[in-house]
Amino acid sequence: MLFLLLAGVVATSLALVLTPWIQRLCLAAGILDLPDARKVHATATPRFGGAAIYLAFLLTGLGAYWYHEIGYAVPFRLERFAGIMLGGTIILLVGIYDDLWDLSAGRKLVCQIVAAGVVAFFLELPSAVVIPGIGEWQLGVLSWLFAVCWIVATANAFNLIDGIDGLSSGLAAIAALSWSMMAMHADRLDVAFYLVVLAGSVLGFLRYNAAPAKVFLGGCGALFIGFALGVTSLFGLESSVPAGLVLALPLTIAIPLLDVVLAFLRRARRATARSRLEGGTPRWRTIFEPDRDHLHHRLLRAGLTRRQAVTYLHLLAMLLGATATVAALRPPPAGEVLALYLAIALPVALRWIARTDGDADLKFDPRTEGTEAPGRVLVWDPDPEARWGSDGAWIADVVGAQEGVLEALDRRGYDVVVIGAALAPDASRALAGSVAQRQPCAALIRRSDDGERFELLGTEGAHAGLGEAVRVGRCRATANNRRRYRRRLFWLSILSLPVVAALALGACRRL
Amino acid sequence: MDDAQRIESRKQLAFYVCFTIGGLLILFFLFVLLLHRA
Repeated sequence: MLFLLLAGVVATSLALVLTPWIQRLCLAAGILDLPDARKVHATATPRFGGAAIYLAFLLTGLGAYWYHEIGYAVPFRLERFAGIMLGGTIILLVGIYDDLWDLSAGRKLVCQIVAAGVVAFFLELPSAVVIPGIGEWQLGVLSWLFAVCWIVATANAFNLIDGIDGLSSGLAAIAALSWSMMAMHADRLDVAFYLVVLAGSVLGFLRYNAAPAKVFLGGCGALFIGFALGVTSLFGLESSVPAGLVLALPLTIAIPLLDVVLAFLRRARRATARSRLEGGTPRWRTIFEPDRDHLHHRLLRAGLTRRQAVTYLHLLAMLLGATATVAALRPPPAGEVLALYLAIALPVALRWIARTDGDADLKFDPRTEGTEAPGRVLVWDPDPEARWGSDGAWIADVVGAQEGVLEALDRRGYDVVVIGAALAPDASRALAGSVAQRQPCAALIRRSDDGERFELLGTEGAHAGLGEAVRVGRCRATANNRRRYRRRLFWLSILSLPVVAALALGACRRL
Repeated sequence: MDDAQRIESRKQLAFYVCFTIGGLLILFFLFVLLLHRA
């Protein structure tokens, strides 16, 4: 057990040393993540921080191998480590290419499937699931399919949730620690070793990635940690797996997993809504296009600061991780019942978290008038020839009628659309008529939380004609909304503490 | 050479370095796994 602690400390120290080194290298090479309409950060920040996690993991693993070879009895199995690193290196290279030149979603998915497939080929996969009261369910070739799907899902989940400073890395560290506790309690010390080393590497990196971030994970880092977690969790499964454990594993990383599922459902719904509006078949390719509606985006829109949103999701992840660990360790059927309860309760809890309480607490903030950063505000004009106001600093773009409001809100990630004077009737199709009746006006339009409706937040006077400035700004959450979220944060912390403390106490006793 | 070209060439250099080291590591780990299976 002390070896695990030592490995964790070594991995953390290595990540603490390597991350600034990678950061300086990126700055020197000019490989920076520049702010844009979809991203939350405001300054150019070095990417590739994930490479430090990869190197810390690799070096600690090689150190353990050396320790093992000189005769110490340490829980280390070279073939498993090689399995993680083989697929992890492929994933890292794919992520690096994507960070540098933007790889298409389809090609990225193919590379992920190849990496997961190669690892699954060399792994000993569970062949059956034990369901209490029913018996064993033989998986056969399905076990390989499940393994590949699971690894690809975890890699993408941690990549997609990587939207605010420290969120993805923190969630990965919490998941790795929770799973390492499950592995320790089941005396699977070699599995606990990989997880503790991964958690240590991520925690060392988190020192620089926490808000305000000095370095980002990058696609390479997020994919690597998701991939390594996916593969390592499979190592923990024996040939016959209790159903409670099968439920507990995804529950631990429910936040990133549900976020990716919700993102795909949301984008599919928008693609069909868009095809209904414009005619033709839905453009399913848009499912892979990024948007600004992930869980963390919703929390930011509700008025939380970046730090509060990250803390909120981390606390929830701790609660989930701790409860899932307890569920996995309870003898059947108690574990299964607890895990099933969590699986049902979780979507409700996430719905509660992501709720922004509608427009009652959102108001146009006059202080922000004209201060919008380019790329966030769109002036929409159905006349493709019109280019009014495009010389204004706050006007980011003018698109033609054929593109329209849906394009702006859904695919291009704008928050607010301003409809031009006397042009509103053409927009009425997309805006449910409410704007058309108030013309001539400029209108602040906000997409509703379910993404289906467009809400009119206010009209700001008549326009004489084209070229006249329209009022542009942001809708801010009121203090009331922020207070509500602070209250939820408080109760979440209170709920988290006893479970986390109980688990920590259990782990200490074993040490 | 303007800034954009300079950054692009640095990106290419960074990727080639990563690709070479990563490729060697992939071959090494593949070798370890094949040896283990054998």
